[in-house]
Amino acid sequence: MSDENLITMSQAGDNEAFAQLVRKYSPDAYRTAFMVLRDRDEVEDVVQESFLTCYRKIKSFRMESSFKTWMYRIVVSRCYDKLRKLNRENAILNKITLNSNNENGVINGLESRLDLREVILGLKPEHRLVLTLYYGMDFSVQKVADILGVPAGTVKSRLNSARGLIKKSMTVNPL
Amino acid sequence: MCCDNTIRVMNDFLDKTLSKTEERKVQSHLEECENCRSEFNKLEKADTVLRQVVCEMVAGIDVPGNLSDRIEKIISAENRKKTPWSRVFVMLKSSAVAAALFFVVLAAGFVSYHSYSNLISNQPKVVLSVPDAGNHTNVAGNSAAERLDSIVGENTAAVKEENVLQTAPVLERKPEDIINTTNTTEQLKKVQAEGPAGVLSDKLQLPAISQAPEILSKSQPVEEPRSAFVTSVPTATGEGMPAQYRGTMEEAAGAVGYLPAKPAYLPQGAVLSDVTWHSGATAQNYRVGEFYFAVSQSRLDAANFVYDEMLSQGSAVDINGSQGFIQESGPEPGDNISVVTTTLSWQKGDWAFSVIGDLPAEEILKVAASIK
Repeated sequence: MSDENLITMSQAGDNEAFAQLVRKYSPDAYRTAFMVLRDRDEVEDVVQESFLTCYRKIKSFRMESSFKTWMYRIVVSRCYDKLRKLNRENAILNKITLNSNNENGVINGLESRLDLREVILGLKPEHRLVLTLYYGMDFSVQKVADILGVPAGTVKSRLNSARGLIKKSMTVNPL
Repeated sequence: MCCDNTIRVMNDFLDKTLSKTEERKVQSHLEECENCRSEFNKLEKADTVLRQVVCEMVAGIDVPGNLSDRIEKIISAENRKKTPWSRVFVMLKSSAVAAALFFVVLAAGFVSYHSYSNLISNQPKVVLSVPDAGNHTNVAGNSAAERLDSIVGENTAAVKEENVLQTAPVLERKPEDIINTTNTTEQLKKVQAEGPAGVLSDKLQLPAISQAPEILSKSQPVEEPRSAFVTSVPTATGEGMPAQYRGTMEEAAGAVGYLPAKPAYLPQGAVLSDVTWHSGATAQNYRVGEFYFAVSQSRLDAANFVYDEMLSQGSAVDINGSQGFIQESGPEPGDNISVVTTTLSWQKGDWAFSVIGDLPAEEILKVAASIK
């Protein structure tokens, strides 16, 4: 059944229809939140709160965006709330081997995909979120911008910077 | 197309966000220029690797098997609360909070209603009063105080289920949500412009206080449950917010009713990509090589109050006699990918402006100072 039908039924009070939306979207919502927060308890809290918010506000949802986009906006907002509350960045793993003295900005230590994972985990949560939404959840640049509430140019900058860095490092060590 | 231009737009070419004309030019150049083709292949490979690694990381995250079940249980618990006496109990428990928030909403709603009542000329009158006025009555003849009491905790048998349900979540709202309700005037004007409507339009999303006449105006049946949330701030949670529109400066001006102020100074090489707008706010999106910045403009109203609070954490600067705040979000130690994003916001007259982008603060300030 299409999302539009499930939403219409949910708005009419059909809780099973809403449950189907939960089953469909909660796993990726969890994964996205986990890429940002990296703490299972906090992530579970965020996802539960987000879907509860969706449930409470479903009757006012006007389908001007897709349910997926709307839901992700709520998840992202909850993640940011959580980050502000916790007032901390995610832990930077020990094995970051960046050579920050390199004048060309090439990461000489980027020798494997594992190192690239660590680089990604070492990013600010907001930047990691851009990569997750664009590459992981396959949203377009504009959709990512809509979800995050930033200009599309900001999203492009993040992506371009990440690609540029990987490109330079691949000149030294092909991945 | 020359190599410099091709390199400059290579990321957009990869993302397929160029116009058809530009895309053809780049494609043609890549077919002829080995260097640029090599660069593009490397960029494409980098993009592929990044995508693969991110997807692997995402796919590798174990989602608890019973996540959906737990969410459904929470929602079921929410449903079980929806009996008349349970709802009353919930409201009574939070009455202390309700009392505090209620008067904030009441004051906001009174101002909004004052504007609203001036707009409605042919509709049945529904009178709202402040608690100490005491001498206004609704069409059913009940006093304002009795109405307010009934909202807080008396026998709700006469109150429709949906209205009480809508009121309960309001009591848990954060202050910034309450602040957003002062945009009711803007919302109401919009509804009026859309055509004749009943006192309680389907399109109208009223703050809690405006539901008082709705609850007790017995001659005006509620047609469908109303939301107690009003947002006109383009936030990330914007439930049901309109899609962001994109076009030229002229199209934006026609849509929002004002011509966005264009900066007289632009960094060398900056080009205006497009203008986007939603909810009356506009953003001029500029590109300078690989970097981007945007000039935003919106009418100054209570919605910007929340932004003011956030932005007052930056450093104060003077923009042509107006006080602004500038802050930079730099990359964290170990983060060699992120660039510095500078955000500068200020208010002038009836307008709120922001310049945000990947430029040095000095350039951001010059752009801002050149906006008249």
